[in-house]
Amino acid sequence: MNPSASSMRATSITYEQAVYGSFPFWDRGYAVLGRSPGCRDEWLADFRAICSSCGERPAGFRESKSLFALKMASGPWAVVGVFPIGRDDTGRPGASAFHGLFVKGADYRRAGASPFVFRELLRGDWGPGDTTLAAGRMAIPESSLEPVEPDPAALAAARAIERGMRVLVRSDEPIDDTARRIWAVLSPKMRARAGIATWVFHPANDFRLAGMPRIQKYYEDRYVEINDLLEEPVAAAAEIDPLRRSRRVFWVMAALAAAIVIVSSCRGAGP
Amino acid sequence: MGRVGGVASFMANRRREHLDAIEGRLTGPKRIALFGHRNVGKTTLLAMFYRQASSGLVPGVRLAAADPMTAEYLADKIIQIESGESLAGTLAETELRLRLYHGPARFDLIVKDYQGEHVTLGSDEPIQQFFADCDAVFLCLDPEGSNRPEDRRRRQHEVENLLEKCIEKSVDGMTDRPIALLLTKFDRVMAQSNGSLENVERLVDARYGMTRHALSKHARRGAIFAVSAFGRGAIDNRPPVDLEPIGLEGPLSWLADQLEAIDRDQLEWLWDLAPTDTPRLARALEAYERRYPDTEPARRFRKRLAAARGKRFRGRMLRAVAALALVVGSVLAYDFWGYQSAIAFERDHPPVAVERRWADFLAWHPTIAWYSPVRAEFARGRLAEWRLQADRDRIAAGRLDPGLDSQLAELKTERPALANRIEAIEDQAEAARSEQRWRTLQSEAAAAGDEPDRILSSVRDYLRDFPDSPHKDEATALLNAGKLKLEERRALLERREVDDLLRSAALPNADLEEMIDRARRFIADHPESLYRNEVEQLVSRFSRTADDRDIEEARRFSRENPTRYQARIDRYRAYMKAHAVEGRYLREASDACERILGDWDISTYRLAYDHFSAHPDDLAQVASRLKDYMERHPQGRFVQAAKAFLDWWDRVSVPNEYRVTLLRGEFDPSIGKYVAGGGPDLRVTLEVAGKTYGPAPVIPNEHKPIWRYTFDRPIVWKSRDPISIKVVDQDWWDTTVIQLNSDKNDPLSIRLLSGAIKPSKGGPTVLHFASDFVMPELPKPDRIDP
Repeated sequence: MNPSASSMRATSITYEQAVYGSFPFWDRGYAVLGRSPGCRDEWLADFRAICSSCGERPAGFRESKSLFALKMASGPWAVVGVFPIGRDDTGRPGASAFHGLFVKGADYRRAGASPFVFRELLRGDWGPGDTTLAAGRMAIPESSLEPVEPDPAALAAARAIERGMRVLVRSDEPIDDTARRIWAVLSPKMRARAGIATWVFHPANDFRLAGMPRIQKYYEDRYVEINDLLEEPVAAAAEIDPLRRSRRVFWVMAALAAAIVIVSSCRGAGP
Repeated sequence: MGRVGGVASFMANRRREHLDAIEGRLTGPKRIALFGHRNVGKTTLLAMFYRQASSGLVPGVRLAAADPMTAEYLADKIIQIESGESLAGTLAETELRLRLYHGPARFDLIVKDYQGEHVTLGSDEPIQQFFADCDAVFLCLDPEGSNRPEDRRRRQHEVENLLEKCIEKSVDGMTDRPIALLLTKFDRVMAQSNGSLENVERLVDARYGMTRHALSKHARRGAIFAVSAFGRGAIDNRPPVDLEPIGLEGPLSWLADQLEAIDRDQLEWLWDLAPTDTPRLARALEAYERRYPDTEPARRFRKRLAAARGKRFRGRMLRAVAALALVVGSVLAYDFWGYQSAIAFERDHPPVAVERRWADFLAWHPTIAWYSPVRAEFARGRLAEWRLQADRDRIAAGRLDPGLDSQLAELKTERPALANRIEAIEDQAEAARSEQRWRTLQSEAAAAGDEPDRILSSVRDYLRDFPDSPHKDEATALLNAGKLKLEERRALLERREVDDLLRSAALPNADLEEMIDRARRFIADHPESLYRNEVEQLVSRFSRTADDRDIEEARRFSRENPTRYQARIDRYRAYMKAHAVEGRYLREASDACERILGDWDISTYRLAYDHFSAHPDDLAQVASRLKDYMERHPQGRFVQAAKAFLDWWDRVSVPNEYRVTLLRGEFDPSIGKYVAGGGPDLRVTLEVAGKTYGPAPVIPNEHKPIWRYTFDRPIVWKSRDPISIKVVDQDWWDTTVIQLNSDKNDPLSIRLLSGAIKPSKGGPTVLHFASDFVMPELPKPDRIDP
């Protein structure tokens, strides 16, 4: 194995990217502005579908940029930044640009399965010349999640997500801080499976954690509100979980070590 | 054949699917496509349709949200419009459920709001599938949204694409659903020129001539409407302060009319395709009536359905009657054929086969009795006659059925006219049975061997069952011979038994009791035996021998064990029991028992008596032995004395009162004080069990005082209570002359107060007492000879 390649692989990940949105500089409405050469058509179809499913901002709420991450049916994870860009070419408000980064599952896990580490790569200032984008490479940070002080609400939400529930945070603005705290106490395994959105307006996508200004009655049974979870005694259980995880890791490592020893001894016993 | 069946099944399935599709369109909600590119105002138009029609601002039409999600979605859009904001471009596809009321009609509508970009040519977004399946289409085009000719042409190609899809499904080159063209944002046209209908059509021809031409050629129910969601005063996409929508009532009324026409056409079509499928027609009509209640077409369809149902019912009834007639005719033919065949069968077949044929006929043709009782009765009569003939043949052939008698008896009851013939058959059967039984008896007698009694029983049964048998004499002879043989055999067996008994008795240690039992059993079992006397003599001999043996055994035991009284008695009693009837020594045994009982009585009593004589103070042991005696000999000679002694012992064992008298005393002449009058002044005090009695009166100046004093209180004493007698001289002062104490182990210390008492150390002193205490006596155990 090439040592330099190994170290490279261990410290950085690659990604493809595309931009979808409705821009004032064209009359095509919502369409894909640009994509990197490695971005496959099926990824783009899924990307358009999940962006469309985020819905329109309802009346009375301020425009804000937000973030969501979801594993697409076609394979990779899409880490998408949503950027309000004002009015479109026809003068209608609420036009948005969706900048999506497509990351393989293994790379997403190596990046800590956290969309927040990609935040610096996402941008909303696009022009008519951005039709061709380049594939990117990102260095894996030392710590994917900044240490946060776990609060009862975050622990309760993480516990609920671990149990397979979808958690909703009602908010008039993106829930970046809350989402970051919940993601920090969630197990890596669950982070690598669960979709997250800091602010969306329609619950069609399968987000395990979503910030929404409101939710229609029709979809209420799909989500549990974080305020309702606070009544459950989950703090103690959440403290136990890290211990359980460490024990599980210990036993997995021990089993691996035993397997290596057995295989080595079998090879050594040959003629 | 299989291929033809498969094709038929395929065709049937296709037909059913087609009918299901029509029924689904009739009964389900109506799907309305609002087709248009981005920024033609679809979302705004939808919201304003709802706003105006739900609040009564559209004449003749009312629109309502059918679910909360639709209401919430549209309300949000209306709020934005009313607040003067432009609506943002639609991003997500949303299904809206509305309810449209038009006159008496009520429609459930499904409309979808979506991204206008998705209608672009070549798009395969999900909304395209909705367009393909929709029931009516609104083509939305704006008059000036697409300023460039190439854009307008692209829009018209999108519309053309949709129209071609609609035409593809029809057979006459016309679209299969109503299509209307909505010219949106018409307020802008009105702001520039006159907005009359002619102008609208001219404008459409000028801007969207291709679409206009296609609609006029292929859309049978096509229409053009000019609408403005905001009304005058809108600037770009921003709504004015006062919303005054234009032309909204036209599309909604047109839609309601078209939907009703479509429903009517489709119901007619369904009727043409499946006029006999009344359940399906009923379901479709029910949906139609729900949608258009109390309308003339609904009433007409209802009457038509009733007529179809009646026709169907009549057809079914006719088929049922035809089927019934066919069944009845078949049954009649079947019975007639069976009847004629049975009659023909009689001619050239034996009676047994003919009987079976008539029986089969009656079993397999039960229906003939329902409509032709005469023929059924005739068949039963034929069966009876042929059954008699068949029975006669069977008896003649030696076949006797076990149930023949009961069959004949039943037949005699049912057919009295055949009674004579039946009796003849019965006699024939009886004779055959007798002959058969006699042959069996003969063969059994020949093979009887060592079982003559069984043969005798069979012969007796035969004579009882067949008293008039032609073999009666032979049977009697057979019976007598059997009896003789049986007696000989019995005598031989008895002789063997007696000989066996004699041999057993001759053995050295023969059990005489068993021999006697066997002999007596023999006499009981064979009271008429030739050997009865001999066996009775044997019984007498065995009994005498056992009698001598048993009495001698009892005598010997008595001699050798004189003190084992009970065992000796048991031996004599055993003898008496064993020889109670014929024993020759019963008197001797009885006397011996009495004598042994007397000896035993004296022996047991003597044990107590001798102990009382040797140890008169050991009264407890004496009492124990007397109790033992009484238990063993409750009828013994000394029971009274023993009982008296034990009563006395029980009495002295508890405190009792005794009267004691101090008679007199003699004291040493040397006692007394000086100048005391020549003698002591003596007084006597008793102390019994710690209590003091007395003193007796003082006799002054006397060495031989005579008191004759009975203590005023009775002495209370029980066995082993000590007694102390104190004599005091009270001249000048009290001086104890003497104190006499009873022995501390003396159980009967009260005897001191029943006679003279002296000090144990001797001397002339003596005191005389008398009391009512009496010692019992035991009689001497002398033998009383009888």
